[in-house]
Amino acid sequence: MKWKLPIAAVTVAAVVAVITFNPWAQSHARNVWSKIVGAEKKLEAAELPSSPREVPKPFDGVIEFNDREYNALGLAMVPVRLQVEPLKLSVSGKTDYDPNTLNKVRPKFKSLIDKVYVEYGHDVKEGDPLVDLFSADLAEAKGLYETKMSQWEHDKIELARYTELFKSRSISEKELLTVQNDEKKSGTEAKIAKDKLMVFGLSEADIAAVAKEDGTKKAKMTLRAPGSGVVIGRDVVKGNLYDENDVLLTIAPLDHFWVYGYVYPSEASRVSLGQTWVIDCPFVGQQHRRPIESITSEIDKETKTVRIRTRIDNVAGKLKAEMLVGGWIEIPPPDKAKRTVIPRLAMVSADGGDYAFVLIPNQSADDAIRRFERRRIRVIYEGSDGVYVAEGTKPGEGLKEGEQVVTKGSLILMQLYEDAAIVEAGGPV
Amino acid sequence: MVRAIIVWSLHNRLVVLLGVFALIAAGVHSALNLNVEAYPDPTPPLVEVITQNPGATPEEMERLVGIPLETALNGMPGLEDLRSTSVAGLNDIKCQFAYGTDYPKARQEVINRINAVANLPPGVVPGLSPWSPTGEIVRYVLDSDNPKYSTNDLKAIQDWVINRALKQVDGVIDVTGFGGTVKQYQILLNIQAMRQFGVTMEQVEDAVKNSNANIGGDLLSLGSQTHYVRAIGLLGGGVDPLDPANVERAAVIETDKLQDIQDVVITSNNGVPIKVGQIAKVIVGNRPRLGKVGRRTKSSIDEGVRVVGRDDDDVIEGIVLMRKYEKSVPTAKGVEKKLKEIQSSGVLPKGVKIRVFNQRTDLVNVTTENVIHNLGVGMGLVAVVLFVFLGDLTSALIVAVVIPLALLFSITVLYVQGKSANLLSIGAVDFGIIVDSSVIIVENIFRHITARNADRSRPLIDRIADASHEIERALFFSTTIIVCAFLPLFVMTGPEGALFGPMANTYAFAIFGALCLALTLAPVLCSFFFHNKKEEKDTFLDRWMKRGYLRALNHVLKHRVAFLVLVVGLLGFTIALVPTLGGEFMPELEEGNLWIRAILPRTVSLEEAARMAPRLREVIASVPEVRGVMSHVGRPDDGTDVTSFFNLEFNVPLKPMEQWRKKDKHGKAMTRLAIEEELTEKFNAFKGVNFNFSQLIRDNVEEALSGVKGANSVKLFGTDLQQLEKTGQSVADILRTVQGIDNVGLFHIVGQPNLEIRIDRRACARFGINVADVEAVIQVAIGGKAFSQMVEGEKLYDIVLRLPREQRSDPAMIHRIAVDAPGKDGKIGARIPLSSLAVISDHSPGASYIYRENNRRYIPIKFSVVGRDLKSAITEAQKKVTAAKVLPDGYEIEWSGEFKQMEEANARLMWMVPLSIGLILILLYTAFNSIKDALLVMANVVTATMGGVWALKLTGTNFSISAAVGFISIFGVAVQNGVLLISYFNQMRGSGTPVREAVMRGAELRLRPVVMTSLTAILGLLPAALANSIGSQAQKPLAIVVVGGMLVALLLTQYLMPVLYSYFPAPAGHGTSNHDLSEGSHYTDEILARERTRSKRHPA
Repeated sequence: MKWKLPIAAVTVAAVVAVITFNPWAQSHARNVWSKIVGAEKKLEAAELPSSPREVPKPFDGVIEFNDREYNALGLAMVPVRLQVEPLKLSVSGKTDYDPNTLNKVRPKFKSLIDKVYVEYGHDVKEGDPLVDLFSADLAEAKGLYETKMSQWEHDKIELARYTELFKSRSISEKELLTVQNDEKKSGTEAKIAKDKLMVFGLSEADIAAVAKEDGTKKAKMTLRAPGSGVVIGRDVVKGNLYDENDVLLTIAPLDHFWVYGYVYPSEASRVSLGQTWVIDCPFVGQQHRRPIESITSEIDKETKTVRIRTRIDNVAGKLKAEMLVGGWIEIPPPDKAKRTVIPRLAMVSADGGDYAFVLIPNQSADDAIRRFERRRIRVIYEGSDGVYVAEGTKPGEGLKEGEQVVTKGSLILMQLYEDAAIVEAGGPV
Repeated sequence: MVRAIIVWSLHNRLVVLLGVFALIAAGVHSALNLNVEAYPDPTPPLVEVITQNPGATPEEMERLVGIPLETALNGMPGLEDLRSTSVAGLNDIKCQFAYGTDYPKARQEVINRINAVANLPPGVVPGLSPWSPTGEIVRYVLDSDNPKYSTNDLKAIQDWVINRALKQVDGVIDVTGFGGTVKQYQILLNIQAMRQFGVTMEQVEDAVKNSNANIGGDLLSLGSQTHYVRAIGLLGGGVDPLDPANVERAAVIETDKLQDIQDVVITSNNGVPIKVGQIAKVIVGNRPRLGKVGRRTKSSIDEGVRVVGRDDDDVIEGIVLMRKYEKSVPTAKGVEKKLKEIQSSGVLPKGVKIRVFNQRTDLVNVTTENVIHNLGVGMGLVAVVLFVFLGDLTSALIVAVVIPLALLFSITVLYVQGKSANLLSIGAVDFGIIVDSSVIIVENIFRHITARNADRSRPLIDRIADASHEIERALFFSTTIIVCAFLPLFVMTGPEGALFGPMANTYAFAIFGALCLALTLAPVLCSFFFHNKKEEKDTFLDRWMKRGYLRALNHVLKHRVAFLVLVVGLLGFTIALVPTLGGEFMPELEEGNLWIRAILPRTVSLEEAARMAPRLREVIASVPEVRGVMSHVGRPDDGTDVTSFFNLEFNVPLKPMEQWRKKDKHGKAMTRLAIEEELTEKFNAFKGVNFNFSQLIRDNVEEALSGVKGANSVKLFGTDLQQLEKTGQSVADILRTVQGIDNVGLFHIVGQPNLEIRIDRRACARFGINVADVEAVIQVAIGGKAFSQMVEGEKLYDIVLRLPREQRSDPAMIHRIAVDAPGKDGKIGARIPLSSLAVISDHSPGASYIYRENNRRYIPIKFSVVGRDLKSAITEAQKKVTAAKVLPDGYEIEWSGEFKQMEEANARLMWMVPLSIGLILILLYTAFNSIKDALLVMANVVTATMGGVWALKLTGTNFSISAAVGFISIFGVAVQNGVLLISYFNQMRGSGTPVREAVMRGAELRLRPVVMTSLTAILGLLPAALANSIGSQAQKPLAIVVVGGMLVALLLTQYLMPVLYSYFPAPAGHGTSNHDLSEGSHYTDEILARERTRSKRHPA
């Protein structure tokens, strides 16, 4: 037995020595010990959030970046601008002739077309011959006019002779009155016949020349351009019979056009007279800026839109009627509201809210940390070119002119913000 | 029986030699043709169903696609897990079957079931994914020196030329194209012009569709010939601009095609034709992109040519996928050959080149080289041990020759079975253990032949047979016991079964082969080469070892109690150590690459995500060990990866290890973990981006096993998406507080802003518009609608109707998209803005992902464990989550990934190991007819286990399945050594030898074989235990356990067995002392003589 104890002691001493001088053995011996005696305590400790890790500081809503992090992520910022430029409301439309200057040439009587002087698209000047008409009605009217004039001439001579005879008391007053009555009657009839010719479109000169006309000439008449312009309609063929219901030619002046635009009812309230309408004529490469001259007071039954109108000059004569145009109406910002504009990249949407991240100015010039706070924004208009933001009504909302907002990388800031906020609040925010 | 075999072999030496030559021939042929996998596929049969429905939200994908398909797929035979993921436009269902399920049958069952689902949305067709976890064998990039090729062109070449060619390769299931753009012919409608001409979208669609077909006009006999009548009406005439013959005129051909579309007549107004060109602009565009691939390479020397490094932000990548369970090496070689063929055959337009970025054969070659190196060194060491201990080169060579022959035998069996070898199955085999039988036989023969008193007049063959007979029983039982010890490996299932099953097979075949060779070839070779053996004295080492050992043993036997106290103390110490061992499922297999995942905010756009990619590529490439970087944003077009733009993945192949820096910043040897640490440090600057490290194959395997991208994950099951997100956040926060748990990432499932258009039926009715009309306009205007296809040679491209970008690019414009109301007389009526027909929410929150498993929704939280063992970290996390009581009623949590696999594997080992030990005990009982002896031998298992535990602890290695396999391996050898000793003790006792003398003589005579078998087992795996090269990590814990266990077992067993036996000796026999048995135990004689002398001097 005497050697057993020393050996046991040596064994224990060896184990103790190993544990004493070996850090690895120390740590595990501690674990073994704690397993034996401290199991309950360890369990309790495990149930508490007694993390060996660093406890995050309370989230103050600020996301921080040092230079290295800022550059690594390639973050970028731009200053917030005040909205000075108008908001653009896209509008489409089409050109049309100015109905105030549109001439439609019609025969005023039933007639055959003897000759057409102009073709479709010809430029004409006022008074230029357009069409020669051949009409029995015209000839009859001219004949009647001649007959009536002839009768009136005769009656005027008869009246002069009877007047002399009455002065010489050769005839009774009653006979003179009868002749006077006939002369007045034939004069009126001649005037009516002349009026008819004038109604047919003959000028005084044409009427004066009637007496010299003979034969078929009486049936002919030349229609002339009532105004300068371009023949935009030619519905006349030589030899055909037309009446006063037919438009033979349409002549329009092309120095300007009317433009009609179609505004959806939901947007009509934003449109008013005088606002600038930028008209884009894609087919001819022109752009015009014109005020809105007219807004209809009713919804168009066909297009279900509100029609607006303006007038544009036909530069270089390239515009055509019924030409599609695009463009936009410039809706100026309200006078008092301080709306701001940020790039689309700066806006982040999450859980139904819209946000931007704003740089908090550093208190000290030596401070190299960039700090950003999240701002809720109320979007007035969101387009690919930018976001128009309403003025904030309460703290932590809206943007101010000159503030720096994050564009590239704004979504990562949002992720960081949400992660930090979740750690703080214990759930999604 | 053993004796009969040996005697037969000795009398039929020619037959044995011929048999060996046949084995060599068969083995060499098998070795040359055997398929080698880098790593075995640990995943179960997995069939993946992909359904794409472009434009649908995750909620719609879940409701309209996911749930009907899941319902149909439920209850398939062998189905274990059914996981589905719904994202925008894509639903992915993974059907995971039980290990052992017949894969083709499972696949067919899935096909049958999905084909029976009738209530899917129109045009939505589910299909099977070609992806498999270890199926990716080659990744290449399509390069062009010619700037005139657009990404559309290169993508077309990838999709229509290379893809088809590679699919012809045996074993290739598909080629996934990633990156680039898919060409489309886009008809950008001018709504105003359409309005002016009174043309509707349907008219445009019909007109183009009807103008784009070739029609056959049957046959026409002209003279004596038959002519086929063809009407060629295809737009563009079907000419392929990318045909190498046309490529110079490609731009002209494309312009002609555009003109063709523009000239299509839609209708006529008063005889005036209205063509597409009048109401639309036709352009060549591309499909909306789902992903983008970038690449950064470093300057290098390739085949003597200096290749300048470059960074390309938009490249086209091809990923060649192998069919599950196919052989990777022949497939990869076939792909390599085909790629060369494509490159040289002229099917690619001039200037287009295929550049392989990484391929499986590289990994296979590196791992094979390393394994062969370890094996070679191991074999060499074994041979040296044999020579040193036997002091006889012939004996050493006889045993050494068994090693390659046993390996060839094993390879032949694998080849005949049509199986593949892999890193684990070959690399983890300890040839020291395998040759134990030969060592024992040759050593015994050698000892008898060279014994001082050997009867050299008898024929050598008879003497050899007698010598073999002496250890035949022990040999038979010990070998059977080794095989029995491997029983748990044979019955392993799950990932560990897939990983170690092939190894167990190889081991068993090799042991069987080695045993056969030990019984046949070894005696035969001995009969040839031991002819002239005279009496040989022990070598110096032998003398020194035996003398020292016997003195120590004598001393220990005198102080048996103290020794036992020491052993019990050490056992207690070891038991105390066990809980402190870390636990992990499998050590990380080194693949020679990094797979880095960067998670950006969920709602990020492709443009913003792609902005980060080059920055991160630059950072990653700044590490010297990195060979190149390939970045992947989003997902491939075929939907094989269920992810979105937030997911940036980097494929980072590393340079060969010999080109790495020698030391990391801490002055330690450079490792992959050190590279990861360095990168993590650099990534810290990317605040808000969550990074995760893995490796290419490992990442796929992890995802396949757990359904989540990440090594470990928590799955929180519930119903409400918002509640899941909220509770998931809480769980993630708790995980972040656990030491060792890192890279915690919640897979956000809500928060995706949707531009939601809720159609107002009443408003539609007011204008006489159908809801379908509004939806059609939304589809065409915003998403674009493909309605016909442009044929270009064999390529087909969509022709789509769309609004120009400026009319659909922002919410304000979308509000104003016009829908035509019906007018009078069938004409078009008023144009109503969308905002008048629907309530449009520009940024309505919605789901981004919907995960489901076994018909329930869940939210995954991934994490990795760094600097701490998996088991303790997760145990702490589980306690904390339970204590926090964050789960609402009806919500459940499941710990998935490696941890789950480890738990399952441990549960299986819990009954398999005792069963194996029980079987060994039965065998031992059969061998000794004594439960006492059987238990004595089992004491060896205890010492070996102690050694294994110490080795793990000293090297800081966690307990893993690999280590468990190591323990199982040494059980057999430990028992074998015990059997050798005890059986010899018994034989001595049977011959009437006193206990102490029997123990001393037995220990002396068995010392050399036991030391030799133990040392060969140790040295056979020592290179593997010390290795850090690619492919060594998997078997390293196994090797450490074997080396440590055998070393301690060797040192302790030699004393423990005699001491224990001295307490429980076998009864003494009545025979006389067998001189043959004690032949050679002269050191014992010396000690016993000295003892006797001393006792005479001091009789008291």
